[in-house]
Amino acid sequence: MLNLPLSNIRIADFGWMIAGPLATRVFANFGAQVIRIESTSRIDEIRVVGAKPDGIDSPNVAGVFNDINTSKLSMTLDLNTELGLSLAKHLIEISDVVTNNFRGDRMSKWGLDYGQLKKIKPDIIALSMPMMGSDGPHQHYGGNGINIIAGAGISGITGYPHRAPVGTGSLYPDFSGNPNHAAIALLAAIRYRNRTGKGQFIDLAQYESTISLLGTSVLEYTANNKIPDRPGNKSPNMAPHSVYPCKGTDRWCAIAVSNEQEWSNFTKAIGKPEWASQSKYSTMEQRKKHEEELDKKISSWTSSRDAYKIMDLLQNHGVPAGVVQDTKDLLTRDPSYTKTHVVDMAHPEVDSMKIHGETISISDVESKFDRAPLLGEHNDFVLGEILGIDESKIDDLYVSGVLR
Amino acid sequence: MESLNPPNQDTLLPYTILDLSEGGHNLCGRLLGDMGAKVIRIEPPGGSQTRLRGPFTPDSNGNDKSLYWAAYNSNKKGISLSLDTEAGRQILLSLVEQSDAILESFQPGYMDSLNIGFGTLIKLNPKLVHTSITPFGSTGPYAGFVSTDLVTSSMGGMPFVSGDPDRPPVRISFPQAELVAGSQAFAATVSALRHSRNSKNGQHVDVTEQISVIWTLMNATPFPKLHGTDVKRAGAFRKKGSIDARHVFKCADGHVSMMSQAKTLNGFIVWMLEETEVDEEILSFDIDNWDIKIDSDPDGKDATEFTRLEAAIENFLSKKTKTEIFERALSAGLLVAPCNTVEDIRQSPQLEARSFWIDVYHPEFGRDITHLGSYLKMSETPLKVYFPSPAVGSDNEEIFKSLGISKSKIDTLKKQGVV
Repeated sequence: MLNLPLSNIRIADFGWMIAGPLATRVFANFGAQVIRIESTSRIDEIRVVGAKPDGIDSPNVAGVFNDINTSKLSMTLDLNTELGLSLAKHLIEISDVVTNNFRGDRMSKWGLDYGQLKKIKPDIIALSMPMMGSDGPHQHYGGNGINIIAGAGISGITGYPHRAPVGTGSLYPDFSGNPNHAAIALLAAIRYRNRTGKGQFIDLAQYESTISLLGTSVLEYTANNKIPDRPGNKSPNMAPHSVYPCKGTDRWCAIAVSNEQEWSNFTKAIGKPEWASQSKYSTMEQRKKHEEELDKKISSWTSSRDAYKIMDLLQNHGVPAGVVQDTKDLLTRDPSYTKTHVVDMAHPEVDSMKIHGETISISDVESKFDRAPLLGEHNDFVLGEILGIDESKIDDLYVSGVLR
Repeated sequence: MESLNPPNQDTLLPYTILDLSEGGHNLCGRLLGDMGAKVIRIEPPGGSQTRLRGPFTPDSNGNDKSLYWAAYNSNKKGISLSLDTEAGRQILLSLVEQSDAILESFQPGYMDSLNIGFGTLIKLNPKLVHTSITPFGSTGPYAGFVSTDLVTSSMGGMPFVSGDPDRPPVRISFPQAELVAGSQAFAATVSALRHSRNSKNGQHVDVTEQISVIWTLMNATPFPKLHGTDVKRAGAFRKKGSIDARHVFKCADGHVSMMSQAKTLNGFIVWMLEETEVDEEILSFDIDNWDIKIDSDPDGKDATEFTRLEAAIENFLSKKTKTEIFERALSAGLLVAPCNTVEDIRQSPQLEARSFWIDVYHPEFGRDITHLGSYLKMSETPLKVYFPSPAVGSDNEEIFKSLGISKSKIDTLKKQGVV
């Protein structure tokens, strides 16, 4: 048995889609027993949508699902039956943490809101991650990552002026702040409970949590009454600062010159030392003023060259530059990523899966890293080993239809 | 004005943390401070470079009142210390002996070159957690790269999938790479502190911006392996199965973003029927099954119908305001949200009702600053802004006194430019 830092923690995970399950992933990978409580009648959509292998009709093979549920257990339970609900409560009684990311009052409809959970297990730690929070006039409003990108203001500052606010191509809040912040709160609450014996309720509004990533863009308004626009890739205090077209189709290199030394190095690197002595480029202010013209000149230099060669050349001259990598680049040619952070995972229904490794590496422990569970894969284990129910009674449960 | 009573150190996160990181990496220490850790922000006597980051307050003289500094360094004590001097490094080492963790974002190798790298520190304090936050990690071929948000985000793959297809890739304009790495660093540091307490073994924690960015596009990374294709930026559209579904719609006073799923599409038909005529044919569409069918049959009848309904909704929404659409979304449970500006966000009645905004007086700036409140509402251990960001060296006396350094010694060190 590996000595894992988060072992001896059991989480009853009612999370679905992305942000909820991703919050408990780190716990599962570092030794906690995370039990997904699922349903076959209302399958967690993330099991069936998004990238998945062609021609396999299964709730077990979707890429994102497998990525965000590593090392967890799955049990199926019909919570709309009395028996199903009582099994869930039985499980909660011996858990440390209960998590969900449903909207509004879903948990209280099952009698599983914090007030009720506390009666089942007085020192329980309950995490809710509804989009708008558990109180306030908009508490019943639901949505997913796409809606949060818009509502929390990310799309408002992303893209080009006079164009639609298209936001990010990934479901950014689902994968960044929201699950991270939830995991942080759980870690702290567990620490607190261990010291004081008290559990608590953590209410994480995904909307608020995502706004926090806009940081001082919001303060710019609260303090200075300015509404930031969509500036494309421009920076208020760096020039040149953009992505520049390179040789090939849809290839780009990001270049960001942040001070005068880098500017001088940049002009030498690309063989245009004369730019450094031109007064219209002599200071950051001047370069900002002539940015459009400068960007055109740089583009004509970059467009016939290989993006990776530009990166290496500029980095060798101490100039911040990096290829705008696509996902294939990340998986095939980025040494800092592929070596340690992509794992080939055996899977019973497909040849193998490429899964993101654990971002956190702790030097003297290994994280355990098992594939995501098949739907209901651990029903027998959870009922028999964890809840201690006799085999014959488990058979009865199957027959009763409550395990679906 | 919030109460300035610091939280009980013995409860939530009873640690002492040295924070030498810069920029958005300061979020890590800020979160630790929010949760009750004693965070000591160490900056050079001339002031941290993070203080040069805008935006600034309207009464700022040049760049002396950075809101960026205030946002990510509240709930920290502040001391000044020159690591370029032997005396300064000795003080750092004494602090390390009495601390649980150190956070830093220097270029890899920099601390080693000053003889204060992980190898030295862990000998002094075997339980120490040393968290490095860097663009590409402490080792590997890119470790020596210089970088900015645009560069690290690009290498992390985020801009490639973001923006209009007929324009260059685009980043989120408020720098994200440092911040996502900062929050990953928090989770890593707390995990490592837990391990250190159990095992008595400290360790080096290596957090990289690039990997943190890659995580934020998890819905894109399975594509090459599974389909042999890359997710490309699609502007106002998003893949639904293999068709492009519009998710950003223009409305009368801005834009909204919609999730094209059956319940929401049906909800729009109901709304349109209440106010206008709807094509008989559209009413006959079998919308309930689109979510699954369009996935498997991109060129079929369903996809054509889908496009037709989408056009009708586009036309309908163009005459509605953001508020009208949001109200409808609330009452009918539709997955549609306004593309809010920061002004819209500031005026949200939901955030008001949940007391999201907090005014904190910053003595250094001589004014109140409206902070974003905590997005974690913890019933037993509420998080607050307990005290404002420090001025350069504002807590020197208190901290150095705790190390047994006398007032006269501090004065001497000051003259030598050490503190």
